[in-house]
Amino acid sequence: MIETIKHIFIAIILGLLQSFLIQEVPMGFYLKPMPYLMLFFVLPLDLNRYAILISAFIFGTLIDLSSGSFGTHSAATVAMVFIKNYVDRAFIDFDSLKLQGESYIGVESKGWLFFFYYTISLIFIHHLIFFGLDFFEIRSFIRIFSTSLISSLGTFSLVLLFKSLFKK
Amino acid sequence: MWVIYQWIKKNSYPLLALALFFFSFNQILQYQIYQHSFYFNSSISFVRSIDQWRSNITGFINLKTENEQLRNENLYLRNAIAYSDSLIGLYDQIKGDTGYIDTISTPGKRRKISYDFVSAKVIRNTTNRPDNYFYIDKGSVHGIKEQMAVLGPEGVVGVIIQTTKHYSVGMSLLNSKFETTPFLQRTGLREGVLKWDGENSNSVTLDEINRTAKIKVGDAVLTSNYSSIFPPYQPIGKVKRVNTNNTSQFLEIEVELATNFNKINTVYCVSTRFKNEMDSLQNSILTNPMSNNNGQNKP
Repeated sequence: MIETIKHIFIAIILGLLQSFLIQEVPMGFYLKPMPYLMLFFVLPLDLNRYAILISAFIFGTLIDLSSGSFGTHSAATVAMVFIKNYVDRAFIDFDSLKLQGESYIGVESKGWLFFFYYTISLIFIHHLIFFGLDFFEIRSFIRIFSTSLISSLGTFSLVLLFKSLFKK
Repeated sequence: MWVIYQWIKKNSYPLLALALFFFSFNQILQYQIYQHSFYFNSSISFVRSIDQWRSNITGFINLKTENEQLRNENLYLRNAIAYSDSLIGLYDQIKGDTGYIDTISTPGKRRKISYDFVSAKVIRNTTNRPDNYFYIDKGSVHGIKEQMAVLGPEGVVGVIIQTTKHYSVGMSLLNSKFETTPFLQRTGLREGVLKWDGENSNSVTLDEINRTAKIKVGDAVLTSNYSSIFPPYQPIGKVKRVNTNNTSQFLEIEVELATNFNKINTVYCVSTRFKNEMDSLQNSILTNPMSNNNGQNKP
């Protein structure tokens, strides 16, 4: 129960930060970080996958409503959570993670390199879908790709920062 | 049924993800202006390209019928020219014989060209709906405008109602919203309302003709010279059935259409050169009927 309240609290904080701070601060042409994705990296891996998928949709829709980007955040978030489910199943041993006393992937449980590749690739998939739907043009592929890559690094940095803050 | 249920149960997670994704995607297409216009423009041009291919194929298959129609049309036009020339000859003869100067403009001699024709190909056409439309492969860049009459080799086809750059949509005669007043050649009547009852793609009904009118089966039904859209005396069809048994003061007339709407391929879009002038005159009379009299004719 406490865990659930904690996650709801994190979701509210991340949603507010994304809507009223990150989105409003101009960070350049190619840098559009979305640290709200951190929520899906701190949710327990043994949580019902349907519940995570629906919460991703609701959370994405709320972000869409606050930013006026109808459907873009929710579509990208649903896609990322869907892929994340299969990535988790393929690469993570849930039992050994439980033995370590962890409920999600962190630097401590799987090492820095795995954590980096795991997080950045999922964030990049999200951003690629998000900017793909936002630009909606094949000929802007290079711009979509570069914006996704740079923003992914930005998002990853902010995820690391917020993770350390929430831990404290 | 059990197999389908099992399959859905087995794949419920990807199916749920897919449903949520498409719901979001649909929101993007519905509410984001750029994506919305991009999607609709792309899908419309895609559908039109398919229509064009299909039209090319069916056009090739129908080549024989098409040739026959064009031959008949040529024959009709040759006859019309011959008739017109014979009139000119007659007028010349009268003028020569009597020595009077002809003050009436002679048809053909000082012929005022009032109509512009643009030929087009029908790329999509429906005949089985209550309101039927056809699409042609010519648009505003080819000079097609709204309210242009559309004629086929056999007769009237419809009216252009919407144009884009390269394509246009026409309201077919087989449309519940289409109405026109025809000219009945034998009796000289210019009354009644011709409209489609939605039942048969080969015939339309002609209402509001007084039962005293002597209409016969086989009478030619043409476009009226009072129409500001259609050129006068273009074939619409011929009277197929006249019902005088009803108690109404009007006759119930069924008109067999000259155009076979299931086979239309080549059409001509016709614009009246002086339509704007005529419309503005009509509007000025409608808005202010006494404007040109300076109040002198007031009772």
